[in-house]
Amino acid sequence: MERGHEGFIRRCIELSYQAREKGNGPFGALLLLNGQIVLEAENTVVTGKNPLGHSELNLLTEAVRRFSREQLREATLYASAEPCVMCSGALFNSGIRHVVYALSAEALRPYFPDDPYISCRDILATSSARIRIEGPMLEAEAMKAHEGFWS
Amino acid sequence: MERHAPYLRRCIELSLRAREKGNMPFGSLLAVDGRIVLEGENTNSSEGHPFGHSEMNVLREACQRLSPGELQRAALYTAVEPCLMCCGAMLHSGVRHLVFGCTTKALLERTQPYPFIESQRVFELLGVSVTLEWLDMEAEVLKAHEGFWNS
Repeated sequence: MERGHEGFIRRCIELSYQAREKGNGPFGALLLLNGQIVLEAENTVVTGKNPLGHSELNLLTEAVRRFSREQLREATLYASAEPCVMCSGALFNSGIRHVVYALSAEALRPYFPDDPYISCRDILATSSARIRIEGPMLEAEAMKAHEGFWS
Repeated sequence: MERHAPYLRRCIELSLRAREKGNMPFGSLLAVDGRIVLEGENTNSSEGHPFGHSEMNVLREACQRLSPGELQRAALYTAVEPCLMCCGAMLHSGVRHLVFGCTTKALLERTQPYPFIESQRVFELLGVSVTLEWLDMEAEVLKAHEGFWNS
């Protein structure tokens, strides 16, 4: 694991606690551009009554509005968990070419036994876009935010 | 299969309407028990947002307005095969029936090369059981795109 990622991943974990405090799923994401955090987002599925309110989609929706495609090509998306298919698709459409996550989809699988499961690595590998994917990392820390939430 | 044609023709009309507003020529609708309950157009330019895909617009609205039972019985009709993000949004919305009139591959052969992932492959990888129907209305669908991508 690259040491430089740790601080940003920990911030995503903090954001996932913030989401949880509001009753939402414990997920958080942020966007790094030129070494600076330029955007942060939380999961809003419950408070927004919207099953599409994933932290990554919320973040990317704002990111494509605020930054040019050229800027986004240099940006990194950090997330407390591996992006789902929808969010991987949004990442793909946004032009961002680098994603770093804490929890793997595999690690979260016991919480969502009925949900379709796939690693974003596998799904993005089927496209010809070259997206750098790093993770999992700091999984034990990230998992703590989920303890007792889903049961 | 033929019963799907009128719904797809309506999607083509919606594509043309989107185009008239300066947006990309894509249109979708959602039918529950055969009745059209929601329609959506691409809003990429008018809302200045690259995630304004017609399918995403329809699904976002559907999640707010329809019950889980209705979503389960619904069919998403769309002129052109949905992208990865929209396939993912469909899965999260609970909609499990997809009908389209033209493959992404066929569209891209006439427009510009762009990395994409076939929707069937997405659902296969996920192992989700989705009723996916492709009605070959390629010529009709692509008429709405004539002169759009090269001008």
